[in-house]
Amino acid sequence: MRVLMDKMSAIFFLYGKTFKNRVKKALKKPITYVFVVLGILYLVIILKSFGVMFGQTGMEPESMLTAILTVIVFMTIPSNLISYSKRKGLIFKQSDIHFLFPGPVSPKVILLYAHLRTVLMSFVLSVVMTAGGVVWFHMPAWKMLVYFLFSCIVENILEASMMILCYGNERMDKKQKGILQALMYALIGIFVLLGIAAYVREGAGFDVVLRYIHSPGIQMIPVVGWYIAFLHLLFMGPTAVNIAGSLLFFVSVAVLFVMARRMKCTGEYYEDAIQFAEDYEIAREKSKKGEVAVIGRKKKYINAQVSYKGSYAKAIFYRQLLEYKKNRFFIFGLYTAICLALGIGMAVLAYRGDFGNEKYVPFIILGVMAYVTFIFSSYPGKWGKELSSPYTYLMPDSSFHKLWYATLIEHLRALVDGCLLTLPVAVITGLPPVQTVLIIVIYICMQACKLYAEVMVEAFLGNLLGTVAKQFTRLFFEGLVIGIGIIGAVAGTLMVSVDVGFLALIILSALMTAGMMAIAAVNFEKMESW
Amino acid sequence: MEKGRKMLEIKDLTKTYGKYKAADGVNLTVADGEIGILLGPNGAGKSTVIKSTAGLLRYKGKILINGKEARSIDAKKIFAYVPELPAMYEALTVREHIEFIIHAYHIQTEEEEIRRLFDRFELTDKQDKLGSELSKGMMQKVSICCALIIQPKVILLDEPMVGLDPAAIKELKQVILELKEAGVTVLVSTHMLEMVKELWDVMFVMDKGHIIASYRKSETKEEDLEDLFFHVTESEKENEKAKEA
Repeated sequence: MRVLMDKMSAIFFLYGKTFKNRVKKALKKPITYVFVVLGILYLVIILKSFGVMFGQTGMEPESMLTAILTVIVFMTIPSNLISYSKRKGLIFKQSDIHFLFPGPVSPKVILLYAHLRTVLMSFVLSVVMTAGGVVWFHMPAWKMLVYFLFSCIVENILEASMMILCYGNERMDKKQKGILQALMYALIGIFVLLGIAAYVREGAGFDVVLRYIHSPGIQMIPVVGWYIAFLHLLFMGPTAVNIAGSLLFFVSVAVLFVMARRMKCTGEYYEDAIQFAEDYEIAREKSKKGEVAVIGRKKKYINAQVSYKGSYAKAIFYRQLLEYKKNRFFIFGLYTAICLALGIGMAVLAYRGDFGNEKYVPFIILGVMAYVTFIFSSYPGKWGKELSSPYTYLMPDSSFHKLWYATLIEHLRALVDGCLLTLPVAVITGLPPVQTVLIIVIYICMQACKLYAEVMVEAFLGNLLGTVAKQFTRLFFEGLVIGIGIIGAVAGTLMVSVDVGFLALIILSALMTAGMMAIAAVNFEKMESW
Repeated sequence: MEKGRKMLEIKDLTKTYGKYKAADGVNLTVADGEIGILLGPNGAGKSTVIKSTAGLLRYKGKILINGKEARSIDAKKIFAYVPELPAMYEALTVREHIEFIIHAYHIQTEEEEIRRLFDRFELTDKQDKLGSELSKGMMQKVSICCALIIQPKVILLDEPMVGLDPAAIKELKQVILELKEAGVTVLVSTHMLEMVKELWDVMFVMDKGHIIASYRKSETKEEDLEDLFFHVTESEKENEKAKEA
């Protein structure tokens, strides 16, 4: 043990100092205290409401608790095992590659270090579930203590052993690695097949799910099922299946631990880990900028050309157009598909007469539009990238022009999405053309408002707020503009007609959005934000 | 330690990425207390050789440090690596980086030694700065200090001058010469000829994954490094053209 501690001393130093410095840094920011208060409030609400909710189900507390813990196992362990078998899932930083990998630290210890970074969340979950077991389900404290030790110690020994065996194994060739991955998928496949069988046999329903979770078949599946068997043994009492499953689980953990300890590992996995770290870093940077990023997937570009019809800031628009033309799906993406699906869905519902009176149709479309505008995060547009390029600021044109041409394509995307959302249902219900056009223009205004609210928040609060706080601030301004617009729309509709109401909404929101745009243009004046 | 002993030996190193051979049968030896320069244009395979030696890549062939497998813990204890692009732990200060290295290498170091290093690389007033607050040049200085604090027997420097200011480049050159004096084996990978003119003992010219020439300073009769380099790379290009023709 002491030898292990000696070997781990650098890791503990790194972990401890990093944690301490992060806490110190966070405590200097006033927003941390707000988050702490909100977090405590949230925890209290959860503790109270969950207790009431579980009490109302009328189910046996042992059965409910075991089911919840089983679902947690389903959500965490199988996906982790699959990641390890692919030599993915453990995230190393560039600094680890720089300092840890070439150093005289055992490659197995480095794997444990990466694992240590991921256990904090599962530790918190174990604490919550242990407390919850006593508070919500009135379980004896000793049982929850056994669960806590089991989930914190035995589960981590299992995961760490599997991780070392998968990552650190230098004897396995490509084919054997493929077989291991297939085995992991097969394990998950058995769970899915049993689930499908239960659905076919008994149909859908909460009771069916519970019976599936508690079924002996689940508890017979190697490793993950045996883990679930132990949970059943602990909380629901002994049966032949759960006793056998539990024994097999402990034996398998012991065997995997011994195998992992004995296995030779010189660090051949470093190359895969470095590749994954680089891919992860690229994906993280992309997602920070609001782009959709899949780890390890390189974007393919097609040949395209564009003729520049204009100078100065207009060049930004044409360059973006060229970049989009090189994309396989041009300016369209997942969001376009969602809009199309929603448009068709509304058309089907309208066709079946589910909307009731047809005079409500425009308002239903607008409601759906407002929902997608508020709920979905903003387009992964290219305007954010323009802000990080020095050429944007060197270009001899006004900041307003630069902002307009940097965001012009986003308005075109909004036009397309607005059409996809509106036209199917408009055709089915025979919506008047004027109203159809007005609804599409309202959608473009909503999206423009969202876009410029974001640019404005980025300009003035980009350096002060975190991602979540910026999103809430953006939502506030967006809600303000659309709220005022809706008041105008209601007044216009009541006083004159629906069309005039829509027109009032467009004019009011467009005016306020233009105001935000003028303010947001300062973002394009200099590289340093305010 | 015996002078002239093969401290760093790379034997038949081959590294492939799919069908592409980044290093193809590379052989090189740098003796105890010598400065080896790995010279070549961009994409020649220099970093692949350095990274393989640092144990970061899988490869075919053998790499020995003081006769021990480069990947072994014993070998790692005596060699240091300065990568081309330094990466700091965001939440660790400059001093804490050094303290971490002291833990990781399990070495005994006097406070005076740390202070001397910080003074030398103008980091004394920056030692409480976090990794996330450092400029690229500053990171490179910390990276060099971390490599030096372990008092290595072999040091690998991958494009070490990139990002450094003139004063730091001068200091680094001085450090390299001092390391040589102390019997440390140094391998520098670079494409900046003028930076290593006065440093080298043995030079390996790399191109397209191969070592196309190697020179010993003692055998080149004061010939200019630049002339040697361009002579060999130009004739390599001519050979290729002739083959194509």
